[in-house]
Amino acid sequence: MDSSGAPCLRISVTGPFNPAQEFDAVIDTGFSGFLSMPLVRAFPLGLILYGTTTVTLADGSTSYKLTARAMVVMDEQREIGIAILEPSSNEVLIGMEFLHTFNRVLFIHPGKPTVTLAEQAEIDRIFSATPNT
Amino acid sequence: MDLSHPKAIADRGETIYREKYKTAFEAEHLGKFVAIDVATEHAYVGDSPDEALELARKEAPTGLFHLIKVGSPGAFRVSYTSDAKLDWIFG
Repeated sequence: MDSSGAPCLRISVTGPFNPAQEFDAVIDTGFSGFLSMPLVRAFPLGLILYGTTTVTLADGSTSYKLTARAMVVMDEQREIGIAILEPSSNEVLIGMEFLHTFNRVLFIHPGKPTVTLAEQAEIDRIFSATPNT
Repeated sequence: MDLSHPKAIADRGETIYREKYKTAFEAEHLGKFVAIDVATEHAYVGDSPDEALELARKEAPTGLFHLIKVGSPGAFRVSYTSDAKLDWIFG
């Protein structure tokens, strides 16, 4: 957890040319995308611009955003996804598409300041081994 | 057609989609993602945002694309509200 109590994870982000850079990313389950990061942090990484997209904000309104292609490294697993580039944010966010792409299941223990991203296959095995009651 | 500003790219993508593809795609591809090449007006459909944009990038490596989710106001949901004063790109 970070200092504000938000679930947080260290990831590396890289473009096709420049070396990877580490970020502490907040896991935001209200974000349906892969990665959201400050625009100014994307330039040194050399992320390739895809163009634009429209996002639906929490109040139901919509807003345009820039998009780029980013590779994220977590626990030696590398995956490519779409990064939303935020002109005015300082935070790196990972969303539900990130969990889907990395095949991970999020566990948050309310009594302990820990976050676990378990492998989906491992959790599926546990559920399949549990008899129905 | 001046596409030097990000807002012009997004507006152009929305216009192309609305005029050429929206009606047919909402009948055939509801819930899928579409990348609109704002220069050629071609549309690339995929099951995921990555699939649509990768397909578009393969066909037009230097293209600029506007990503849309068919039938949804936005391609992604975010958990915050806007502060337009701080968005110096799109206003």
